[in-house]
Amino acid sequence: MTGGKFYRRAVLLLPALLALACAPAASRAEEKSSGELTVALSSLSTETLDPILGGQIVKFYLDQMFDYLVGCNPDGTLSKTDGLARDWEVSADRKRWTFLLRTGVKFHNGDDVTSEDVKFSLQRATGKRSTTGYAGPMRELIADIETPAPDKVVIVTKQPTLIIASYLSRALSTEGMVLSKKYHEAKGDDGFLAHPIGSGPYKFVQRTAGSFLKLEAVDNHWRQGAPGYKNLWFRLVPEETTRIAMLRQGKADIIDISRERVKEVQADGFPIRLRKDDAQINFWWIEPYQGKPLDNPRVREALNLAIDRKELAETIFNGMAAPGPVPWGMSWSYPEVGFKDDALQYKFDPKAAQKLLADAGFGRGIELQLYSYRLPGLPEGQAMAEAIAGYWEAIGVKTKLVPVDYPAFRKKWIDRSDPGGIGYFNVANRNWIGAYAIIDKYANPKEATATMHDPELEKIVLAIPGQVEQDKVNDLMRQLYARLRSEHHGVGLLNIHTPYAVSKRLASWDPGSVMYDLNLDQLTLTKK
Amino acid sequence: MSDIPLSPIQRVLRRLPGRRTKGRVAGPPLIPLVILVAFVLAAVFAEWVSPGEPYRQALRAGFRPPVWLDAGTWSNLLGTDRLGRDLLTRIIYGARVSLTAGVITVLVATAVGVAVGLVAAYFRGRVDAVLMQLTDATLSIPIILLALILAVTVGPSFGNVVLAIAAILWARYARVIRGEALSLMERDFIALARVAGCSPARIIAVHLFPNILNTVVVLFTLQVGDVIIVEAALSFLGAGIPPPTPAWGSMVADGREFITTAWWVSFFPGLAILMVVLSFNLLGDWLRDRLDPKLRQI
Repeated sequence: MTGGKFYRRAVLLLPALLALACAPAASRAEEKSSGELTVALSSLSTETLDPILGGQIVKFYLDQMFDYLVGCNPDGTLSKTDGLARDWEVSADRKRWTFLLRTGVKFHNGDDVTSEDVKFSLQRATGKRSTTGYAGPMRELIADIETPAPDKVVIVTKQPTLIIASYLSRALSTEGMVLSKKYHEAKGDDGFLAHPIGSGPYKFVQRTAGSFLKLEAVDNHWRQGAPGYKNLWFRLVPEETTRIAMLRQGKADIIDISRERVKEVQADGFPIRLRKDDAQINFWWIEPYQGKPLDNPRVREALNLAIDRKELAETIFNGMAAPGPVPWGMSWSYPEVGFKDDALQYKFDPKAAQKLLADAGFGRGIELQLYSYRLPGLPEGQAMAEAIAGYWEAIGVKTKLVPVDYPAFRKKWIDRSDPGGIGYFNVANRNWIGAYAIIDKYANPKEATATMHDPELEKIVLAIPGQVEQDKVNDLMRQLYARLRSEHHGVGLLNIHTPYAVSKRLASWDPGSVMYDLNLDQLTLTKK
Repeated sequence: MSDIPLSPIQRVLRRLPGRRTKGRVAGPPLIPLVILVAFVLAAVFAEWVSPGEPYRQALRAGFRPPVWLDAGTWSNLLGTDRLGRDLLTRIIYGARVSLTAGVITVLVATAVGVAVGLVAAYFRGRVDAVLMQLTDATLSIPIILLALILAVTVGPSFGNVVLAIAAILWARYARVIRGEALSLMERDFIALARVAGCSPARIIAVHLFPNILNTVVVLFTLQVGDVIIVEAALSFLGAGIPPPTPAWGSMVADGREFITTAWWVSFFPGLAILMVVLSFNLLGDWLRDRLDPKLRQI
């Protein structure tokens, strides 16, 4: 090659080389999303696309479509980089919360996200139509919402509080999801439901109820540019064998799987990702149980002592569970409030349980009605209920098992049509605010969901919302947990881990530890 | 004898005890009788003959295989279920549930169906038309659907299973008995009874009923097997006998998720259903041949 030719070629190649050298630094906005990510689950739960209509249990896909006012990290701690609020502060009297919004964030239709949208969304989430987890407490707490500037929202509360930022974060329910006011007012509730828009990394494409939801990546999301996958599918596949077959054939990337089939799928080389302590299984009784054997704390203690939690965890739950003795004890909140349950474990002691029953005047045994059903995330529900009935039978508690669907039990519970009847739920684990809110639902006698009547407990519950010092809150939360355990206000059974089988390309996925969230951001906002 | 060649199954059936051979009705089918007697005795004396207690769970002994497989033990001959309960014990106690459900249901259905059939045949006219339309309407209702509705509305229970099946089954009896009784009504002894001034109730009870008894017995035997199958199907679907009561259908259902790893949990209760139902059917076949005067005279 002559020198002239060489230089000419070098000059021609120079721009291309420069472009290559600069590529890593280029904005992700210039990259294109590609490929598909398919999540196949046994239940898509309420399948609602409206955050205020029972949306918290479908947060795992709504949070791909909508941004939260306050973001959170995969461990549930609040984040100033993952939510629409880039910063927030609270006044000295703890009654004015000021949120500063990111500018330039756009909804899927191109409109800017402003403080008016935040106000509209929050008013809607706390309105009477809202069925979200914390709509009631928020309604009671918020006095006014001010929007002094397009990038500034001020939430004024009726009493001093520490919990506004957490309530409106991704760490909890869906009250913090931000919707477009203009779009919603133009389309109405039905129009919004038919084609919802948000400002999340994925936009709605298509949904067939009882079958699938298809989302498509936006070109450029404010958090990280182009999402990792072009299309995101959520498929409803109730049959476990079909889900496993889909995983084997490469038609699904993430599937939920029952604990007893984990080894089988692992043997085929598919990684298993666990959401550790994902939920706590609690048994409770339908109010009013006054005048029933369950009114007696010794009877309640006997029911707890009769159960071998370790055996249950190792057998029916295939080792993917650990004893969790405090009723509604949300273990993710324990480190936050400085509570430990190690010393509070129930010792499996059927003889002591029998003695307690005899001491309580029920030496000849008692009769109980235990409802038996499966729940999403708890395919072992009926077998577990049968085993619990077996433990109780062994101490002289004649337990009538009533197989029903959960909604049938829930109706009896809310209607109080079978006082003293027992049911259970796998309560999603959560931080201290979420734990407090759910305990309030069960301990507040005014609530239809109340399952206990304990004035001492009520005092503690009522004292918490007005506290402005975290140390005092923590102390009250510890008292709350201790009281629930000492009075045996339910049967706190196990903290269960939820397994997901994933395709080999997703081996590093961490499903995180945020309530009803799968941390799909780790996949969708990261390049493959 | 026909020259049509027999299929292998027909040849096997011909060799079974109790089959009609060479134009004569042989003795009762021994193997089905032995099986039925064994299950009835086991059901009645379950407390004495079963090796354990049906509700005693031992979770750590769950899914123990039958004795002849690796890890099997003599204390659990047929293995254990998910909760570590002895399968043989539960099958024996399950016989009590299945046989009781079968017999009680068929008795209730027989009583209603025979009464309706005889009344319709005797009175004819509007009574007959109304009763037979009711019968046809009843026959159009699927038993499983009715049982599921009952299970959802008032909860699954032994009583509801009996009620759901009997509420439909009576119609089959009514249809057959009416047909049989209609032909009897044309006979002279019925006309003579009327001339002698017998009341309708007396004619039905004393003259018609004894003459359709053979048919009732044969139907009874054949239907018990059917009812056991239906009860098992309902329990399998969760609309039958609620747990932890050992019912064969729900025992089959309990094991279906583990059929590849713990096949015995479903297999043995299923085998028990097969043996009992087949025995009832073979016995019913023999009774039909034995009690049918036309066949008896061949």
